Amino acid sequence: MEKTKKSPKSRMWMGSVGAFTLAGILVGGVAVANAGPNNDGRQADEIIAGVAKVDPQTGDKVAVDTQKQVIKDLGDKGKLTKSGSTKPLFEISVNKVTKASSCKVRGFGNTVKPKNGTFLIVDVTATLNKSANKEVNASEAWMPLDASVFGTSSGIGKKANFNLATEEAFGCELAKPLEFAVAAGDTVKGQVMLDSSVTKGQLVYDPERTGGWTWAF
Amino acid sequence: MKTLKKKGLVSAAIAASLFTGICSVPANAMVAPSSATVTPESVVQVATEANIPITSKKHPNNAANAPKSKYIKTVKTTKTTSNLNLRKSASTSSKSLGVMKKGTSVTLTGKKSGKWVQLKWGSKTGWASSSYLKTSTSTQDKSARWMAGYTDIYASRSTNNRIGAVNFRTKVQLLDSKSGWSHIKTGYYHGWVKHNVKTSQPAVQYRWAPSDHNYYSSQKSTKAIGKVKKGTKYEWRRWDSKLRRDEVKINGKWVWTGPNSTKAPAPTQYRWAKSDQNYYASKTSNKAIGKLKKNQKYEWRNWDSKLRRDELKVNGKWVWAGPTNTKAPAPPLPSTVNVKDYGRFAERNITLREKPTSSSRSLGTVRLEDKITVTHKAGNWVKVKYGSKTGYVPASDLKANGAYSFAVYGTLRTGQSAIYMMNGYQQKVKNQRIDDHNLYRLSNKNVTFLVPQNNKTTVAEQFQYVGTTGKKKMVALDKYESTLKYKGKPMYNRHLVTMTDGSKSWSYLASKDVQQLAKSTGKPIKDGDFLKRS
Repeated sequence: MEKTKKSPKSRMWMGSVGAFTLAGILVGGVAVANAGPNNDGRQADEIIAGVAKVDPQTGDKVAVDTQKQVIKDLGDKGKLTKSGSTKPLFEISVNKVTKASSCKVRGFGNTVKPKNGTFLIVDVTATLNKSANKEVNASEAWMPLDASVFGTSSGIGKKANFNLATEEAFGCELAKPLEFAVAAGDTVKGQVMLDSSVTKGQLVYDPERTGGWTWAF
Repeated sequence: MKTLKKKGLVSAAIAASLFTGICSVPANAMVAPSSATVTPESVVQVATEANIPITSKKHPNNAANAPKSKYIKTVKTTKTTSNLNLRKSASTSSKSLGVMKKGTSVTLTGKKSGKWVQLKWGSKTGWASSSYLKTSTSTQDKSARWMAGYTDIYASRSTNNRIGAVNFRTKVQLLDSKSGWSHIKTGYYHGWVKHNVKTSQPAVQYRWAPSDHNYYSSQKSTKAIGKVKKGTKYEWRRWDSKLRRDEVKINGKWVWTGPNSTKAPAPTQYRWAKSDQNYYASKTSNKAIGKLKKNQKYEWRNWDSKLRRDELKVNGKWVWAGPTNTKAPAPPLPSTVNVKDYGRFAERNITLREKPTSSSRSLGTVRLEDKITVTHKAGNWVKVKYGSKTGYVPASDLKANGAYSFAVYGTLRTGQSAIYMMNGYQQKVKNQRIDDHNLYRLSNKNVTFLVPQNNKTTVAEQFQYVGTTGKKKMVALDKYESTLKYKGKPMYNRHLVTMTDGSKSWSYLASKDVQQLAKSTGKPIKDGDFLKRS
């Protein structure tokens, strides 16, 4: 694992503004140039369009895997920062991942089992800066947080499966359900239920499947 | 004072006699004043004794001279004044047989030992200190009786000396009883009666006027003071078998009428002419004196099965005609008019009829809360489609809103992944559309949002539930749909939506914030139909 270096001159890429949602920023921004994989699934130290070399806020080096996902540890924040700025527009962290073999359906009380193998209860914190509204053409910027924007893979650099938003997972009663999306100016914290065949590996947040962040669990 | 009392007594008696109509009894007939305990309903035919009127207190049968009733007793009651031990013997060191609570009634045996007295407490006999007992005296009155019919009263237990009579339902005081005779006291006098003395007041009895007839102020009077109509019901209290008159209450006054019926008269019966048929002056006559009008209603009173003729009233006269109908002809059925189909729910269990009339053949039952489609109108009835059946129901038995009807879209529909959540329904109607609403999705293709939008419709199914199942389903769906939030508020809220067929069901609409999001950044789902996943 490469040691991160602080670099005050580093730039955080800010992609083209999405037509409707801030998710569009992420979608339009990710493109890989001159990328080549290392043996451990991490991307070689190349410049990748849409990914900063270092965190503009902390100066820490940014690691990316071969699936264009920025690599994070549980509890670490994935950030999206406008070019020339140090303050992130969007931050998301996966704090904890808990497994469950079944759950109770909210309101009905019956027990259901996961369709794909295991329920993953994912504790998430997300913040969307109010200034994100200026970056979208729509009246309000927002970032989706429902199960469909999360995926799992068996390890770094492995292709993630994003079909985790089953009806079974959707109906599960959670102690503190995560809001469906985070709106500009809000911070939300809660749990989202995934229905995964992978019980250990990487958890990915990638709303438009063009590159996001990945946490080991 | 004595003189004044007497004068008052007499004038009151005269006034009352006019009212009660006792003018028909001998000239010395009087009505005595009421007493506090006995109702003044008695009619008195006074036998004088040595020229002393019965209204005089000197008359031995005057109420004032009545002996004391044997049924009024003075009783002594002993009660404990605090919680008190019942002892086996007259000593505080003696064994307690139990604690009598304050206010317990006990019976003294009469034995004493110093301050101690022996007493009975339920099945136990023991001793207690008299310091904690209090004996009081009270009057026990069990003398109240009521007359079960108009009854003669005699001065003694012999029918030789009749002193008057007492009316049905009159309250009296029982003084004594011997050998089938009862010594009673009315408000006016006391004497002996045979039979007819009851411990509770008999029920009011009624009679019915058998015809339009006169009524009179007394049983002998021939001068009518009014007339009652046939079938009139009134309270009754006496039948005079000699004069053949009943005493009945009309307009709050007791009056006399000719014999009445003891049973309510049978309701007037009618028949309906089968055709423009002839009628005759007698049942045997063959000479027609007129014609009945087909389907016309006539009062009826007799049927001669041999001659096969009915006796009917035509123009106020009883005549005879061939067989008529016992039932009114069915009114013509209202014409059935086509209307644009619309949906409704059953407000109760409704019989589905073959024709728009309640006498029509039943085709089955439309269950409470089930949805039907109205296709035609027929007077106050509508023609409906109910599953595979078609028939008529009263329009008033239908309603636009289903109490527990849910219009569901997206994954809750048949064949979709969450259909299992709609189990327990009574009825499911597919291929319906929610009017003026569009369906959107955001990032998750499986999560859809119903948004009000003019001129758009959304495919839905209507599930109908009843009773407690419906209530439970509503609570469960409310929780299921309202738990997920956006901007701190539930993403879905339950609203009554109108379907394109006019029926109304509950559905879960996107919150205002989500509606805005869906409209500005979401994708509308074509035709409001939810695509099946593969």
